[in-house]
Amino acid sequence: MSVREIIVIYSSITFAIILDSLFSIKLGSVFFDTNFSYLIFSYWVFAAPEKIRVSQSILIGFLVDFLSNSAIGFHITLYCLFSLIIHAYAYTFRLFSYLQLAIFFGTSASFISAMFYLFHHPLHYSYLDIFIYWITSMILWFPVYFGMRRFRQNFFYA
Amino acid sequence: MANETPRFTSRLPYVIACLFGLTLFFLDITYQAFDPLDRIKINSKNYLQSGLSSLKNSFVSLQINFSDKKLLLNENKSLKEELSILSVIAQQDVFNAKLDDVSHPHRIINFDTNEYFCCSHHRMFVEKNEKFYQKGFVLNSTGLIGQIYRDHSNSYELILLSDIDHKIPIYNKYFDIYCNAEGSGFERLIICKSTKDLDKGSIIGQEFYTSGFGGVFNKDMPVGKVISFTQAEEDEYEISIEIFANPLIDERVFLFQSS
Repeated sequence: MSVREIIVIYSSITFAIILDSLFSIKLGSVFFDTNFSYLIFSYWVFAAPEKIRVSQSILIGFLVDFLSNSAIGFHITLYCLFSLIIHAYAYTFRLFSYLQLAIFFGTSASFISAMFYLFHHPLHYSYLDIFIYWITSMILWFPVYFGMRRFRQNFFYA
Repeated sequence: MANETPRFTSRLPYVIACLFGLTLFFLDITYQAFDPLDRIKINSKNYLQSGLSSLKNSFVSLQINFSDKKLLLNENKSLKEELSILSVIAQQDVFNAKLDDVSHPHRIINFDTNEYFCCSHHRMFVEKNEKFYQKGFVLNSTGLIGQIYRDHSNSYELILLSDIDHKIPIYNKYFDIYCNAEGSGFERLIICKSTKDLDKGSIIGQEFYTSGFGGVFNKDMPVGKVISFTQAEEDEYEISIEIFANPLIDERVFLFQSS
């Protein structure tokens, strides 16, 4: 990867972590959380699988672990796991509709959020919250996908 | 017969990477092996927050430098500070703290409210001033909110009463209950475990005070009131106590050295 590509990918992930902290709010008894960092990471793996391989997955996972409130190793493990799945089905995903992609990436994002609460804050694990993450992650996939595609076309290959 | 979908890399490096990640995760969760890294993160975050706040303040003061609002704003700010000092001084009899101990309030530089609402670790970072504290308790204008947990290079880390890792020795003199109330991980809630089977109707609403054991909190400081009483196990009962103080109210807090 060129320096330019590394800067573009890592700055988008850092921006996503900032978005995650900005969009986390409490609404009544429900804590509304987002997982932009995973959605943008998975977009890069999906859109440029030849660029994001195992070493980049480890580094991005470490960056997310370091900047968020999770234990070191948590995001490394899950990002490598989902990177493997996306790589394995890279060509199959090209045949998916936008809705199917949103279901896959939304479900995997909410799975990571669920694991986060299960391992770090089990008292706050709530099925209602997980369900809301699942719905919001699927909805958020669309702006992330189209926004990042435009961003990639303008900056990544420029 | 269809060909298998081609892959960009083999699976083995990913499996090794996942095992590597799991090992790091286990080491961090079990032994806090990356505590120094965590400290670096906290310090850099606090420096950044502090710097941004100073920059914002200087920008605001520059903006209003030539306007008539400047005097009013300054007066308002100093009055607010005076008011919060007065409210703590007014509480000093209640908290058994001496007037001399009331130093200048410490500005909160980092309080992750997302973490406070969503998760179990309730920590607050306040800036340092000329006074040094080794251990002590923390008040704001609404009451007792926690204690000093760690000393960082540019800040004190405070652990709030509701933090899952916090314990506070408390008692209720009418029911003669003494316990180490643990933080629940939920906002303004601590849990006291007791072996006494009490009348639910009469215990609810009862106030709990610090017992003075442990050497951090003075005796008889009001902590909170009972909101529920449930049986946890065969001979163990859980008393849920709502904390009087609200850490979200003030921008500044007062630190007191334990006597």
